[in-house]
Amino acid sequence: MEHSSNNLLDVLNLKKYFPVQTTFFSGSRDLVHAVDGVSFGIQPGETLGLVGESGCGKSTLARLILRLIEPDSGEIRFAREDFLGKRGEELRRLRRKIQIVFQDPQSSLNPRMKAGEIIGEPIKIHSLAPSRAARKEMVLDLFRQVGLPPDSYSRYPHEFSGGQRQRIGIARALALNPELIVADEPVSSLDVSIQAQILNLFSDLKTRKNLTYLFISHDLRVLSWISDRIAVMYLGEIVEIASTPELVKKPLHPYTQALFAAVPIPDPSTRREKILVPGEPPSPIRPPSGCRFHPRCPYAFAPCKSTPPPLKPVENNRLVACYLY
Amino acid sequence: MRKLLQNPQALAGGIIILFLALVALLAPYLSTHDPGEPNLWAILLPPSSGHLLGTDDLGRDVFSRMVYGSRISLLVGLIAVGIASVIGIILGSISGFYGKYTDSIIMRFVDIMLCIPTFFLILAVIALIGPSIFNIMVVIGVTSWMGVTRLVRAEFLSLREREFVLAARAAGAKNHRLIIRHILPHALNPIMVAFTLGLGGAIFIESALSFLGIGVQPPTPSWGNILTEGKDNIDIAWWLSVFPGLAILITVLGFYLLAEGIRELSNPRLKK
Repeated sequence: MEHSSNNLLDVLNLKKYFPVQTTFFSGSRDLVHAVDGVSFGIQPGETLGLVGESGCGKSTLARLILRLIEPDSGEIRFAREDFLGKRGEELRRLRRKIQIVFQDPQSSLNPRMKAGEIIGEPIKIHSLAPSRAARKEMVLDLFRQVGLPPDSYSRYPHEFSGGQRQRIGIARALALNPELIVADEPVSSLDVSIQAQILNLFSDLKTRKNLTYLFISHDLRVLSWISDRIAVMYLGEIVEIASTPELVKKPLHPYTQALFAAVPIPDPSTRREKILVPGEPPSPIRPPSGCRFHPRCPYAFAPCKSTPPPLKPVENNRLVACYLY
Repeated sequence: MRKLLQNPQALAGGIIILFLALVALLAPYLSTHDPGEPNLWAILLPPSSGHLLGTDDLGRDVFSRMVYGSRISLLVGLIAVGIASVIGIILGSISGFYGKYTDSIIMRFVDIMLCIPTFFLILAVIALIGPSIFNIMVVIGVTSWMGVTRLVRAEFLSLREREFVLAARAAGAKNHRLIIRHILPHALNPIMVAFTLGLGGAIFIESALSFLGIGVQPPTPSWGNILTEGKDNIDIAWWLSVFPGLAILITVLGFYLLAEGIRELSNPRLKK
């Protein structure tokens, strides 16, 4: 039921393990379980938020969906087409419809190219403009859409502020008229007032251009504001997916509860029950047996240690991987 | 460029090389005598106002021969290092960009080349195909590309994971565009250092070959073969050995200083 056929993007049991060579002479190689059997779907026009602490595999998942790295196994379907099977021209054609906005606009913009060249490059690659002048016109139009002044055209990335740079990153993603935008922590490197501006821009563009977002963040406040549904990731696995109001009102998975308890409330007089998660996240090289959260979970009982709980439907259309439910 | 002038090492090296380039360029105007003209009445004269650096055992003016010799040294250096850099940039880019088996094969080839003592390989090849300026340039070039290859590969390995490269890939950029437009421009600084360092090395190899008699052939003057003539008369004519030796030393030093200067400027950790 979770993979209804009208989804724009379907990810099925996606896995990516990175080898780490421990010593030069040891033949056996350890594997980092970066993304370990992740499945979800995104409907057209929806914003799916993806939350998790650093190192849980969020960015790897984003790069897998764009095929910037190849998964070890699993399926990615875009508009019911098998994205992973595509090669050459077919891949380029389908790639146009999925674009990415990176976390750090400083490192995601080529410092030796002017803003106009950066945004114009995708247009040039896919020959979307009949002439040089037409391309410039398209780039200037993109500047307008993301709120950059037209004189940005011949300026270099280092001449812009952090927020403006991220606008350039967004304009580049928009240049190909994509259907899905994967935003990998797009506001995490910005300060709070700029975060709000960029989030508003994302939300404006979505309604104006009929976009679908996979919005990755470690900040639940950001995701609660922008997402229709939120998926919670822990150590390479999705532990809970629910619509944003339901998740905010009543987080089910103990890890989700702990994440919400850690969100600061801007009112010092508020007292609330603190759920502290003991210990550090375990190493993704040797993840715990059973439920990956069980060594840190206050409610863990016998089955949690032996068999991983499946992601199963609970209540109305929400999924949670926990034996408590 | 302005920063380069503020760096004392780069400035010193740059002045030496500029001076050398001017000497090579203006050789016909600077030389006081015909470098190939023997003069039986002026054999092995010590430095004087008539012959600034003295004369050799055929009575030729050493100063004029050295001025013309600088042309050979710079030409051999530039062409040889040019060849080495082109090979190195191409192989290094391919190796670092594609990785996997391609990388392994190219890197093992580099290892094999590095195992062979280059100088003796050059000796053997020149002995086989015969000495000429052209042969020397090509042979030095095709035996000294390994350093550049490793350097370019290392730069590519780190640059290809950068987010602006990933973004271009997501936008549909093909491999050649990623390499030429997005990665190579960021690897230019270390390549420039290697190029400058290589120039000093190539000039040194050419001098050594000429000294051994299998480099630039007489009567064409080169610093190396002036040295050879000097060795036969070292007990009576010190100026025949000292001046070409000094010229080689100063030239190589000039290139090393310039390279060190560029390296310092391109390493952000050394910036104050």
